[in-house]
Amino acid sequence: MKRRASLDIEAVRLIEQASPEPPPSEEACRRMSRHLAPLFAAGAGSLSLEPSVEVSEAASRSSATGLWRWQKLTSAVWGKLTLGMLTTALMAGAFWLGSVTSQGARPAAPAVLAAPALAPAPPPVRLELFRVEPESATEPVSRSRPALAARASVAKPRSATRSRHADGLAILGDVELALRRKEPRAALARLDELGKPASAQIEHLARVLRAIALCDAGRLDEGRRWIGRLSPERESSVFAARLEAACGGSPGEARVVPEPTERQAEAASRPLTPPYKQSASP
Amino acid sequence: MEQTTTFGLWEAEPIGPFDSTARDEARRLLYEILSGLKDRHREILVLVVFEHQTVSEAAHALGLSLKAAERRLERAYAKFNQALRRYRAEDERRLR
Repeated sequence: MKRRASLDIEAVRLIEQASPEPPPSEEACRRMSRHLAPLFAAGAGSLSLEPSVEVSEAASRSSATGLWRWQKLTSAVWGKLTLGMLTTALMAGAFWLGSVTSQGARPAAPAVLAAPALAPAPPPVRLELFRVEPESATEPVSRSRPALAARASVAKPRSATRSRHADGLAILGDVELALRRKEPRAALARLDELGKPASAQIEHLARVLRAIALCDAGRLDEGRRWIGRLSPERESSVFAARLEAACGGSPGEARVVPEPTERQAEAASRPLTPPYKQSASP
Repeated sequence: MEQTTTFGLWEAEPIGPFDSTARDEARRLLYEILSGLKDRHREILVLVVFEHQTVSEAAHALGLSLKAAERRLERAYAKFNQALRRYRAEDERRLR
């Protein structure tokens, strides 16, 4: 076997010897943070202003040096940029506050809005704005505060906003649960609520589940008729094994389905809920 | 004895004059050997040995296949070892 080349031990020693100092210890970091804390507490503005003053003084002393010129230029550009960004932020805040507090679509006067912009925006207003539903994004922002609060507090019922596709999927989920609980009659009852399927996939799933439910309920002939309505690719369907297990055997073969117990009948009569939502009953 | 401080923030590791000189000498030798290597060998050595990248990361950074990067790294190791041995031999001959 060929030996892979690597660094000699002497080379490794050389690299280790030439390596820089190890990073500072925890105690050193704590000491450093103690030194830096007052600087941060003084605010970023004072920190950012200090170098520019030093640079301008140094630059006036040795203006012939290109480095100082460059530093002076960059500090001036940064100062102007910072001032511009601050002004833009103040104007945006003024516009936002004015549009929130004004009634209706009244045009806002910039001179009047400049004063409240300096005051910090109250947090509850911002929260209410974020709670507004997505449709309100197209509406004008100039709403009064009570109107926003009222709109945010009144939530539409969930079923009304659901699409037909989601409804269909929810029903199929309930049917699947009922089939797993060996309650084919409840599954069939839930399938009848499906109505017109929203898509071909949901229609296919509904047919498969109906066939399985019918066969589980002992109505083998009906179940097999539903299987016949499935697409020709059903042989390769993921439900093929379940269909075979539920409806397999000769067509005339009768399956004896026991009468539902009292508990099963009660379960079939009440609306189905997923297992994780059911309360633990003794 | 008061140790040298760095910006007054943390104390440097206690290093004597001998250690400091040895480190400077090792760095000088390391830079000399690295600068004597070809660019393609130096760059992969720097990435893998000094930047602690894996060979596949270095291969990605250099736009090489993994196999090509491994071959180049082996070649770079061999060149580095060879240069160091040559330097030590010259050093011994000079001291004799």
